[in-house]
Amino acid sequence: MIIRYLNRQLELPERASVLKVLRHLGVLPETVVVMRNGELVARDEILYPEDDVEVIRVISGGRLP
Amino acid sequence: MKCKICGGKAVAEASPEKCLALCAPCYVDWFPRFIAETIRKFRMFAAQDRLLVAVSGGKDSLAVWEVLCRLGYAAEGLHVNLSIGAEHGYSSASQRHCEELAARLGKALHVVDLKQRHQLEIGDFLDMKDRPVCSCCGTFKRHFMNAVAVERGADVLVTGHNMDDECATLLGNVLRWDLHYLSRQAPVLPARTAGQLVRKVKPLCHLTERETTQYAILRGIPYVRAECPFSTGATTISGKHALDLLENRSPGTKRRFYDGYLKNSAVFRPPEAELEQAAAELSCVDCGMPSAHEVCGSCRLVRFMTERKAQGQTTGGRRRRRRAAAAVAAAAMQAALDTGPGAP
Ligand code: SF4
Ligand SMILES: [Zn+2]
Ligand SMILES: [Zn+2]
Repeated sequence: MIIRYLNRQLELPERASVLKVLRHLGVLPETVVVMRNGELVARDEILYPEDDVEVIRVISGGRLP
Repeated sequence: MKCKICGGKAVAEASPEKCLALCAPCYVDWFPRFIAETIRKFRMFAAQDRLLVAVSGGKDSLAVWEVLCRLGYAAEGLHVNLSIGAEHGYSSASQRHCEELAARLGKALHVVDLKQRHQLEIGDFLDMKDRPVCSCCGTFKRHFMNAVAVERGADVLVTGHNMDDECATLLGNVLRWDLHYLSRQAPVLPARTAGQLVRKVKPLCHLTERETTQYAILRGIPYVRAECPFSTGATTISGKHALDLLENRSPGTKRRFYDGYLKNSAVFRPPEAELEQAAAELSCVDCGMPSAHEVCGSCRLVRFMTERKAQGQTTGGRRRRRRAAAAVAAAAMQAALDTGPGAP
């Protein structure tokens, strides 16, 4: 699956839960929402290789330098 | 995960201490009810009050405006445009999102444009000697929000501050032991000086950024996802990051931190009479708003910069300006990479 996060784009060949993908990215679950093919998904959702996944940061006020 | 209300497929989660996963229809139904409950709990305003919602173009303020309209309140919008990152359209994109929502809600949006009013933009304040640009930005925004609320006869000024914002501000105030700010951080600031300082409320104070983002997405409210070009490394974000780490270790930390403060904040507060007196002292000779000095903070900034520009002295900080321009360019690049608005 293609995962877009900030300005990065990475590929994960196997199915994985949303939480696992976030762990893989090193992202705290409360700081993002995850969209699959343009739809919001819960954290226990399983993502498949053909999915287009976008991880959106929700924390406003800037980025850590 | 199943929706806790209808048993359907859950797509959104409330913050961990609420133990609530919901399907899309139940979430967009729960969210306004939760806000209505917060409004009631803190006695923020009454059904007939005229509200002015300060909208930045971000998810929180747009979401709260949409919710207040859904709840049936008379809520108009106010956007303060300071020409931030003018060359890359940060402010214009922000204003556009506010206008789009105003059109959808069929509500008036009042716009204050620093450039149109005073021929100034926030970038002019990048090379102030001992004043960060964010401090000037805050002064202008607070000033215009209150001034327009008074002008429009609004009873209440609503802002989109969420629990993450409140906790980060609180943490910053505690770390500095800033007793002045610790005495006046509250979900409701009552009106003072015979209504010249309008009542301020924060209906999102018990909702996290994640909760408002989910709502904005599920309701199809487009918002600016790019960050302000001047925000990189701002102190609030370090505070938010620290709190996120603590929250991850021990869910509910933020809520306990914030509620604990609200419960005990009276110890920081001077007597009401003292507050009223402090607020009532003077009126600004330029704009007529209540002020601690003869000229209020916002008008002082305008005077200073207008004079300096007239004398052609803005080149003093050429290097700083160049650095700022580079920061703006980097942020614009980031914004371009953060594709599209937050709504599907
Ligand atoms: S980060 Fe940008 S919007 Fe926020 S206070 Fe600073 S200048 Fe203003
Ligand atoms: Zn449901
Ligand atoms: Zn003034």
